[in-house]
Amino acid sequence: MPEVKNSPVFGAISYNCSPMELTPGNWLLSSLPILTVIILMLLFKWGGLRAGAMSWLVAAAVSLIAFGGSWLILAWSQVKALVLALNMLVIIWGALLLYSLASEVGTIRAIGLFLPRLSNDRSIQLLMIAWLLTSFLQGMGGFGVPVAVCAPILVGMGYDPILSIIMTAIGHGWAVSYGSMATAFESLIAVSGVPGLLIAPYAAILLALSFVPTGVIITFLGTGWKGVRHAFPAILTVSLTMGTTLYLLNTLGLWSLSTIGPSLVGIATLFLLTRLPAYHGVRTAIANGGQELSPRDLLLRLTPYILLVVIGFSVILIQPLNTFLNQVGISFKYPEIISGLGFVTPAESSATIHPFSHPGTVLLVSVLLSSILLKRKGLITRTSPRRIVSVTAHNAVDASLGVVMMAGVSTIMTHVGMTSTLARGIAETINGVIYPVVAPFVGVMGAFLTGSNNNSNILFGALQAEAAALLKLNVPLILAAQNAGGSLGSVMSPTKLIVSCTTVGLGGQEGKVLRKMIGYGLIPIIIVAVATGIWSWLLSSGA
Amino acid sequence: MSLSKGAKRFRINMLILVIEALLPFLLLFALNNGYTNLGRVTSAILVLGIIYLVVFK
Repeated sequence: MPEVKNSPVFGAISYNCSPMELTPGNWLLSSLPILTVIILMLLFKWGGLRAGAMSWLVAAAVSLIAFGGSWLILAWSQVKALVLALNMLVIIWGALLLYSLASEVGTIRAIGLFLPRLSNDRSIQLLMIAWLLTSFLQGMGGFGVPVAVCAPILVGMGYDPILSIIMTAIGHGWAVSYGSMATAFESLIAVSGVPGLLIAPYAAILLALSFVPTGVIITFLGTGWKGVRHAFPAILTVSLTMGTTLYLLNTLGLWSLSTIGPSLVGIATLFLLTRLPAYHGVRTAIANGGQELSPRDLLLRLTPYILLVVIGFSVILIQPLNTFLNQVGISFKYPEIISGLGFVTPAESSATIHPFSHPGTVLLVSVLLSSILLKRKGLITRTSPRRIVSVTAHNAVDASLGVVMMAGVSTIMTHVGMTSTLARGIAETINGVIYPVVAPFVGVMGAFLTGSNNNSNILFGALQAEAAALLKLNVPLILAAQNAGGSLGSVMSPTKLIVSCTTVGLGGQEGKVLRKMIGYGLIPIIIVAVATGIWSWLLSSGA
Repeated sequence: MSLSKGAKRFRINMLILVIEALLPFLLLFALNNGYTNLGRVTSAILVLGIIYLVVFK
């Protein structure tokens, strides 16, 4: 690897500071914590929390025995993991609280009653919820919110809980990168030092390539091949309008809108398509135990989600409000950490948390305001708050422990050089023809380990840029592939699965879900990988 | 009054969450100030909590 000390990349990431010798043994040891999670979850069907705890023990043991780790490094790693996890946990707690409130006041049932009014076509309903609504929510809420909100709706419509998680998770995979104000993409720009406008066109096209397979997978899982054949023209049309919007927003530099914009255009397109006789479905009376909600009742029960959309949108898009709320920021300073083998993690600050504009705060405020409103309308009784808090607390504890464990694995590996050894092993042993195909999977690996596209880009963005430069590949294309892989792969991470499973009553069965999900989840990633390979070959051959 | 199995498990998990959230800070304090025994006890509890999750979850 070349010395790139002047690069903005290596100011923050210490790959080149690593004195770790890259040997097959070191590489294998570095991969042990990840292999532990994968094997325990896929083969032994362990839950995410249990597998995460085992992986933490393996990471700690390997770091202490072979990578010069110490108790001081473990303590700092765990402190950093807690700060990292806190950022996600506030969102998770808010999402779980919102879900408990929605269950209490019958919102899920109300959505189940509302959808047939839009279209009775099952495949259209599925695409609207599992693909477009999840993507839109990712644009506002980010971590865990789309699945926590939409999977229970699908379960309420009669779909299998495991399939509901798989459909909603895969449905918003493309949206992760530009969700939450495009944090992940901004991180990629920051660590690589490559201008965003150079990466943006490649990133838009690679992510847009996942649209059709995503729509097809959701429809196939929910309605079978017959449903796919029926819905394919709709999937293609929505993919085209969303893809065009994504490309335009990205190339204009408006990537903070690159999830919300395409999602809204997709929702509008699908709504227009439901006006066509082919997608309106068979109009039948809305039967739900002989009950039908009046439009007023329906609107009332939808209050938590309507407020979530209104408040979330206001915080993100009203610039003066956003600036005002962002005045308060919390960041933690960490000292330089050097492992026993000399691996240096420079002194750094944690990502700034803006408590007043944080998605978790948006969720909590939505819950509070809707609770006040619904109490006035008599939908919340005196015993409701106790029940809502109790259900949330029971679900939140296991999910929180799981997130803390996986964040701990990730920080231990980073601080003793295991992550960099793993990534360098891939970058230095693969040739320039194959590397573009592998690049998205490096992003997937980072996202799987950390549960976040943002953290994957921070961990591997610099390495990908350096490897691409070394192999004389198109650097922005490889970075776009890293970004797409991280985005599509993050939805399969144990951290996110723990949260998803909690909301549909499948806590502890994350291994079972991952086992069913991984085959489908890899399809869009393989398509992106092959496209990157072909594109890179075309660029290098001057076509 | 005895607690149900679910309630017991919830309380234990809550306790482990609190341990995992607070002990790293105590461990840092102990290691930075040379309190060796406190460091040993803290790290042992930290690891035992995680072992509990592996064995009993």
